[in-house]
Amino acid sequence: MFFQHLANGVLISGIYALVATGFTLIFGVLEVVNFAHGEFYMLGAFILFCFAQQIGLPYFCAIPLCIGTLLIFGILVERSAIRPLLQKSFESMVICTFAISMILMNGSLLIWGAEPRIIQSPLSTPVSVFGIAFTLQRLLVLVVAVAVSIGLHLFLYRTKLGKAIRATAQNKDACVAVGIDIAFISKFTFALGVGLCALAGALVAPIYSVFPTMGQTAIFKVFAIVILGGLGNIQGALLASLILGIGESLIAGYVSATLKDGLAFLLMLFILLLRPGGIFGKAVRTL
Amino acid sequence: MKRETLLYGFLIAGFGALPLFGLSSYSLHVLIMIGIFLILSQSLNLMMGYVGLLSLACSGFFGVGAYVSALLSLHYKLSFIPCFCAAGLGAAALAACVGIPFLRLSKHSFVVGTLAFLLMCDLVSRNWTSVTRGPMGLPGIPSPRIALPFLSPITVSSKEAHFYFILVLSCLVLYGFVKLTTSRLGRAFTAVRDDEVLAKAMGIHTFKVKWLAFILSAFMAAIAGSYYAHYITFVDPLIFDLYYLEVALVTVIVGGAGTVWGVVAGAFLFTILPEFLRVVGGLRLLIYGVILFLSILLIPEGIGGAIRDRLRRRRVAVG
Amino acid sequence: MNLLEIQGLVKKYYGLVAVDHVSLGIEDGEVVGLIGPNGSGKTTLFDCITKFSEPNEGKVFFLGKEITGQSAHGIVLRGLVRTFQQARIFPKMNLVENLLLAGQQHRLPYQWSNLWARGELKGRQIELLHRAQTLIEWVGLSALKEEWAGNLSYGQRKLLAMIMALMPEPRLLLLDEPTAAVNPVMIEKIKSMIRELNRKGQTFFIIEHNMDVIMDLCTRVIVLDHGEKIAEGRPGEIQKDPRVIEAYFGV
Repeated sequence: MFFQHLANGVLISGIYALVATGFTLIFGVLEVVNFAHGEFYMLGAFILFCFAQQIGLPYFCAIPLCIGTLLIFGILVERSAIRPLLQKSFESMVICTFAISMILMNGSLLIWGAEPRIIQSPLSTPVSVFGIAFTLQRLLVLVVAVAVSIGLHLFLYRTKLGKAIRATAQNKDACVAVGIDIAFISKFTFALGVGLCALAGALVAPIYSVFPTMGQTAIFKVFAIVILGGLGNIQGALLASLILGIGESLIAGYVSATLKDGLAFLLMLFILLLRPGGIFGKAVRTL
Repeated sequence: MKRETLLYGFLIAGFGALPLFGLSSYSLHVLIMIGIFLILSQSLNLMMGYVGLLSLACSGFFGVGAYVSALLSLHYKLSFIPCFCAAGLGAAALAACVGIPFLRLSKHSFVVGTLAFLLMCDLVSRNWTSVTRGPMGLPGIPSPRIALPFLSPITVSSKEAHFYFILVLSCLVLYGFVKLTTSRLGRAFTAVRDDEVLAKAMGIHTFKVKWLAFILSAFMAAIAGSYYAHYITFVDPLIFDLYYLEVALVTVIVGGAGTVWGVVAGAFLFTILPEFLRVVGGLRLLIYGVILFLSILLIPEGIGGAIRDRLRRRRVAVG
Repeated sequence: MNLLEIQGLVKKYYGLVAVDHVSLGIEDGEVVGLIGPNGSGKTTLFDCITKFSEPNEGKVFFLGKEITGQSAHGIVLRGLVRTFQQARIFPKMNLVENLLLAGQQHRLPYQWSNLWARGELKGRQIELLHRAQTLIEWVGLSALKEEWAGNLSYGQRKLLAMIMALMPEPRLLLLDEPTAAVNPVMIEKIKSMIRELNRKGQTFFIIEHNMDVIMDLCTRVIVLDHGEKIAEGRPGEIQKDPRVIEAYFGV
């Protein structure tokens, strides 16, 4: 039974990790607290719904289309909203992303209505391995999350663009001085963050139902994760996702399902009081 | 000085005379909501506009004030004024405790933390069912009954009575707000906002100043919440809904963060506007989102701020 | 007794030693200059003394009492005031308000009693206002006193920043490059201001790059290089010191 809960927890962590990593990446490089992040996740799920259910494309074809759409959308948002405000204060930028979140959420509410939608995926069939039950869809999420984490690490540490991104997170002015195209880096990183959300949304859509306010519930967990892991710290986000995912699963299994959301709350409280910089101790933007 | 007092006197009297013109119950309701949002918005304005900290927690204290007031009047049968004061002081005490770790955070974590505070309040109100009855909420909150010395107690139950009550309350709050922002502490607020390093170099205890602002902002939001609970006579976790924060935010940003009258005008605008447009729920917030977005992009200092800057700014060419 | 005493101050940034075991003393009535090539740790030293930066090691004493553990604003309240390289002022307040702010915080904490101790507070307000007016006149900015400080030219801001530092009647004034980036007329003005104040007993500790200013004003000069104190003495001696020459010219 314990391993079942553990497995569930690990699978949930995968979802959390995908969304939280994008958020912390955007913060680390752009110094933007993207309040609309949850809404991009929600849009990922809805766009997939459009492609898969309304247009009728097969699930696996719909995923890349969905991600592509959201990448373009992310670049548009970055160009029109984020870029002009990067020079202004941090607070202005936050309010801007807050406004975008309002627009996206209420827009979705008007377009699709509040009723939850269900999406079918070919991987919804339950499977059992060593007595642990899960659906292949959940396993896919985990596999993708792990692949993305490894891929992201390799990208950031082994490729030139990745190194440029890390450099931008540490010192923008120095980057400009050595000729790094900050504008491109911003666009790319933001799109990457949005893309990760879209991927998460598309993968998760068949597991849970899809509704316009799902981004709001997600963002709370994301906040807890990034505060726990340290804003801007990717390894922290991954570790914190694992802690939260497994912790919630164990609480839901052994204590009570309704209390599991309280774990995020408690962890946040704990970290804010005792170690405001996150588990790794530094509220510095490090990648 | 005298001329201003006269002007304010006329304005207040003008407002006071409104119900005599036979306004509909609905119109009075809108005016009452303006008053409530006015106070909530000024609470946000204090943190954002005067100290320069984007604190999204004021909406949380709004709800905390509402719940505290509701619970005290339902379970302990206290009359309105004690509940009202307890709500304000309780929220202030909570802010005092919560503020210390929060204000030590970097400005980025602070923003995330204050929104998380709001979400935490929502979570607690939904799950602490033994006290808050969860999503079922607390119905039947008594209308404010105010005990007066030497006179029989007044029950504020009719729309007109509520209107006068909120009129008086708003005026008192605005008066206090203006006095605060023009006081020595108020100057310290703007000093911290404009240049915290310089403020420290002037001997200002910047942490204490921010902490005091946080407490006062919480107090204001809580008393608005307390009155709201007794007006609507019902409180449920939806009081922590982002709706209140969003309206307050658009009011402060478009009205002018750091101005008093800009935010007052904004409160009028954004409470009355939907009534004229006959829009409801999602569309209203969508439009507000667009307005907020355009405002922060194009006029971040707000309409009030732009007017104030225009009046004050003159080019000085001397070297 | 020294007004300011620094013992073995060290400040490190990730392995780079910005301030390397610096010890010095400033006596009442002196004008001491702090010079050194760019990056030698002068401003960092000021930051460590005034707690805008946390030193790793060392002690600081002011008026005989240890202030190493104090907070930045606390040190100001004791009478140790500093200015910044970039002439910092509050842009959205007028000159008088800037000066009142600079003077009011000194020694008067926020108390509930302030709400009703109107008499005493009013008296102090009037006194501060008077001092602010005097200072504004002294630097010749009377015509602009209702202007927002943000509308001033750079040179005017430097003057404002200096009189703001004077408002709380500090025992020791730390000036960080007071004549940087200003025209020669303004440099003379600032020099004469410092001279006049020193004649009246004001003690100064000044970071400067402009050698004329140092030679003209300072009774004693301290030289830093790579965070270390490499020389200390009268301006004439310092000019000829081979270590100083090497530090500046690398010869």
